[in-house]
Amino acid sequence: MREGDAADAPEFLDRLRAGDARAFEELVASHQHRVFGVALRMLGGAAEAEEVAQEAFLRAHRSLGEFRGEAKLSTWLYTIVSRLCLNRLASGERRAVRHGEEVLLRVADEGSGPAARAERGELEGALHRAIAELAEERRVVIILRDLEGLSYEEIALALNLEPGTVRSRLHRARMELKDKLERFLP
Amino acid sequence: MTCHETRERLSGLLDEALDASERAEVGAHLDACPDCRRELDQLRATVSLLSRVERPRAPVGFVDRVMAAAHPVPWHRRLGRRLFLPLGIKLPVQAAAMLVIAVLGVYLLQRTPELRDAVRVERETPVFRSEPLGTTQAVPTPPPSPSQKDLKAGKADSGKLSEPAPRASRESENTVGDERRLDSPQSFPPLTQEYKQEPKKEADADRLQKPAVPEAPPAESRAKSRDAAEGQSGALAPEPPAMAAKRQSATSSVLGRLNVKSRTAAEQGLADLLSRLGGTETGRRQELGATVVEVLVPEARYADFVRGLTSLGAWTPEGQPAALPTDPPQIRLSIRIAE
Repeated sequence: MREGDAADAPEFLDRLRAGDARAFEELVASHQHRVFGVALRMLGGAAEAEEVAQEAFLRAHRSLGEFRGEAKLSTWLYTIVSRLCLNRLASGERRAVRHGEEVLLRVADEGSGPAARAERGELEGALHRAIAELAEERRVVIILRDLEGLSYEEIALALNLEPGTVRSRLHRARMELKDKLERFLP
Repeated sequence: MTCHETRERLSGLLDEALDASERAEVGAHLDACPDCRRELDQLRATVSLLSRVERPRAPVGFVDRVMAAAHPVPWHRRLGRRLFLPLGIKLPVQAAAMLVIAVLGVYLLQRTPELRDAVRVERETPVFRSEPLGTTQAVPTPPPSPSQKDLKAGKADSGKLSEPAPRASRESENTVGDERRLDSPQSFPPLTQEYKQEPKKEADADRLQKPAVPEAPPAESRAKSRDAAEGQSGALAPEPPAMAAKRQSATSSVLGRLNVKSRTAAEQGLADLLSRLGGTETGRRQELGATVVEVLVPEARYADFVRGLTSLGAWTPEGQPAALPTDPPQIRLSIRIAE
């Protein structure tokens, strides 16, 4: 199963609700990068991101019987991981990780060698830095919309916001990024 | 619609999230405002840049860790896997088990003959200890004195010298005695209980420290002292020697083997010796290849009697000479005359 493909097929949902471990493993395998990506960009540290992503899947596993299929499985998982991240950021019980360019630059470079980093160069560094510097409520909207491709309605559902609030936060975040990335714009 | 109101809706316009009326109003403003159009172009370019950001990948093994946390394996299954599934563990454990079994088998094989030998020794030991006969078994054997050790070479027919229970002695000879003779044909039993319980314990103590063949002076001095004491009292009538011998025939003070060239000549010499020294023959029996003569010898003449025996043949005594409470004191001997 490709990441996210056919995840919402009724048969697959039935298997998940029935506690089919194989189906759950397929769900984790197909959504691991999405969930981990959100956590990593929100929290900045790979270890903490993995911890939160794992917790997100475990919560999903415990709640699969209650999943009604009103939203896509991916949206449901984004909802869980986004709220976990926001709760963790708001709790003040986090590890000594500060969202800064250094952390996100390291995040951006994970899985890449020196050559790849050189190719991406300054632009990608500036992009990650700009995202990391966004306020948490704006950063999560940018991540879900421009990096993960969720619709306004899905973001509103995931973050328990009004669609207008989502649009407003998204606009503010994009304008902030535009200003920070101005030198790369035509 | 102002520029500010228009720019607030530019993201919605890019995402096609505006309703038709808003989209129309924003479009009308953009057609008339080059600044807002440039703002829209930059915003579109910014979103385009964001789309180039690579998505991070979850670390290797993330799925397995999630699955392990979601479906913890029961402890017995984990234990079984750890013990038997990985060959790195399974093979050494099995090899160790086989080694232990092999070592245990070799050990048992080596130990079994030893255990049998030990059982054999334990079975032989009681046979060796069963040599004492009848009443003598109940009495702990005193540590052998040098003379007793010497006498062990001729300790045959021991039970036969115990007159009070001749049948028991013979029966014991037929059972245990046969085995004893096979083991040591000339072995003597230890001293009897009655002998060790004789009334004059002080004298016994003295005699126990003496050699098996007593010398004349001490016996004579004891006889003199007893004679003196009896002379002072003068009350006891002398008991006939035959009666005294009959009464005291239950025990033998000295056992001995007299090896001679001619048994007949030795028996005659013994009779002459007894008549010369005032001794009395109290019993005689014939055994296979030997004549056992039981005699009573006055204690005062015991030393002379021993010298006479020595002249008749090779005299090998065993036991301590103890005077019977007769008048005069006498010493009982059991002499086995053999060629």
